Amino acid sequence: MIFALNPSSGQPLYVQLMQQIRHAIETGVLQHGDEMPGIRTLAKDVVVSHNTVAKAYSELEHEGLLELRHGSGAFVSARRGTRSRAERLRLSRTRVQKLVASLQSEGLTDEEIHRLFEAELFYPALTENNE
Amino acid sequence: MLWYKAWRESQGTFLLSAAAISLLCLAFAMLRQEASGGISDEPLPYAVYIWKIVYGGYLREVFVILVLLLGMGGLMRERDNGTAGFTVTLPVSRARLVLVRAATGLLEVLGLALLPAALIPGLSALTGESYSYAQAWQFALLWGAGGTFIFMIGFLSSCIFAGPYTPPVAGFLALMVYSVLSDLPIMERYSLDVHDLMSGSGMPWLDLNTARLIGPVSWTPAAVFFLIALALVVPACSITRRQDF
Amino acid sequence: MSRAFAIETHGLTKEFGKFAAVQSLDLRVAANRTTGFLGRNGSGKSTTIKMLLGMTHPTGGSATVLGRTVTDEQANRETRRNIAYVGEDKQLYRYMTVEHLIRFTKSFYSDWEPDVHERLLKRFQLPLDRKVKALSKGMRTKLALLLALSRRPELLILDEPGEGLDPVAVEDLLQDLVSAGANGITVFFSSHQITEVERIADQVCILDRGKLVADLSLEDMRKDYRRITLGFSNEPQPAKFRLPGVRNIQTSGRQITLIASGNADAIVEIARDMGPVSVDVAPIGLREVFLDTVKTGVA
Repeated sequence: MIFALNPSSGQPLYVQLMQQIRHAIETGVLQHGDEMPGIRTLAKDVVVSHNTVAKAYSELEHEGLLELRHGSGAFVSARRGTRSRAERLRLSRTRVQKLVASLQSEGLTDEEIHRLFEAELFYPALTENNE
Repeated sequence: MLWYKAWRESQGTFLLSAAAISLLCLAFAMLRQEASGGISDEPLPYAVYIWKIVYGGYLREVFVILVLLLGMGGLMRERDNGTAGFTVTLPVSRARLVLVRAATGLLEVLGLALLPAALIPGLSALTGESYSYAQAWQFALLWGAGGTFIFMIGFLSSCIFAGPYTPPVAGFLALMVYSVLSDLPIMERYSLDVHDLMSGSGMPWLDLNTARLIGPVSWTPAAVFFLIALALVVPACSITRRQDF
Repeated sequence: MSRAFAIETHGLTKEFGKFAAVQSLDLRVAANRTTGFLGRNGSGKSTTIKMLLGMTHPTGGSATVLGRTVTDEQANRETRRNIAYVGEDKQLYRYMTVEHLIRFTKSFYSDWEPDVHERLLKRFQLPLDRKVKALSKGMRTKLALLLALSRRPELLILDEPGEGLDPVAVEDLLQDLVSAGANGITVFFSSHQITEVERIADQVCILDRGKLVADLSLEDMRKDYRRITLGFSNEPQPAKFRLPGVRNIQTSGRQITLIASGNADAIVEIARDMGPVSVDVAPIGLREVFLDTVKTGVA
């Protein structure tokens, strides 16, 4: 597995790592029983502090997605229903494509569309108030 | 491996000095006719010739210069060439760094002091002259004592001053001032002149006619100079301990 | 060691005559974490590091490294047994060969790791029989790194370790530092390569003109720091934005840019009440935080 973390994206690196591992599990790239690289190995491969990897693994263990077996490593523990999630994501992709196409046809630039989405994701409450 | 480092850092100066002294001894022994013409018009007895050119004269001056230069180096030089950070952060005390360098230098000085004694009698035999080993070793001891004192002047100067020229110049100046002061009439009775120590001049045990050391030689002045040399390591350590690198 | 901090300084000061290179520094470097030490040239980073290692004597204040005070020569010497250091001068004894220098260094420490040393020798391609004076600057830096990384100290202090290294070597170095951190070694390194620091450090301390102006966790920075850009069609009133969490207010024409170290949501709410025509919120990277901090000198 190759993970790409962006130190300047505004998200803590461990959160990004968690999201990418979660995404891989939900889409089936990582499956139940797969062994994750050790903390030290992954930290070296991604070139990121081992504390970041340790925290990501620990949080995912709390969420039940990883099983950390003392001495033997970390294993993916994916419950059933992940397939449906992958399908949900596929369907959502189509919806986003349609929405973006319709916004573009109204004359909005890509930049504007991007900012709208970002603003919504960052501060959904405020955007509601404004309208 | 601090001894190894101290040796490597003084190796060049030491070997060059040893080579220079050896060559000069060879030259003086072999070229006796040419050389003594330069010293005096009358023919000299061999021992007096040797005394005038080696122990009391030319080679002694060379020895003083070389021994002073042997004291150069150390942490101030390392600071100039950038390695002081590496050395000072080793888990050893600064005192130990100073002591090892001083001890290495003192041993080298003693080695240089022994060279004429080792060479002159043998070389003299090659030209048909003779020079007694007993005399030579005694002068070697005097040179050892005086040499270590002069070495420590250079050593101390190298602990205080930085740059390639200031330490040796300061060392020479200090030595000159010392020589002038020790030759003042009021100081004469204390026989503090280290050059005289090394040549034996002015001492009751040097027979000026034969230039031989006779009679009971008092080794006290030599011992005092040597002990002072050893004692000078203390200020060297405390100066180094206080420095910032 | 269950110590919380590998390095602690209290009012640490170094004055050279009237010039204060380090002023009343209260630095704390957590154990078992990787801390980056940033600052402009002449900010006092190297002087601070030298004081921690007993190379330079402080003129005021105190500091402890691995629990021992730095001003006691004997105590500091004990501490140095457990520290590996690569200084800003990457000079090594020119007359020694690579092999001799390694043997020399090894003789002072009991925590040498022969397999790491072999691996690094191969990776750096350092010829054992070549004298240091015949090495290029990059190879000398690699040798200096080898001497430090072939050990397993409690604390690794590096002053500009990436200087003179090509990008591939820098990447390898970062991996080595990550490895060291994973081995439980506290890593404290100063660097001008902000991108590199940002990738592997847990914490960053910023020094400016001898004073500590920032001490932040990078994850908190990513989570909380935001740049909020507000555009107005009427005269903006920057004074109204002196709110908790706002570190910096810049006005340019009818645009106000705020740098917030927290409370971004609340600040945006308040901002919206003033009727801006555009509101943009973006995350900030370490480079911007650094530049902003040392320009204004605000903690």
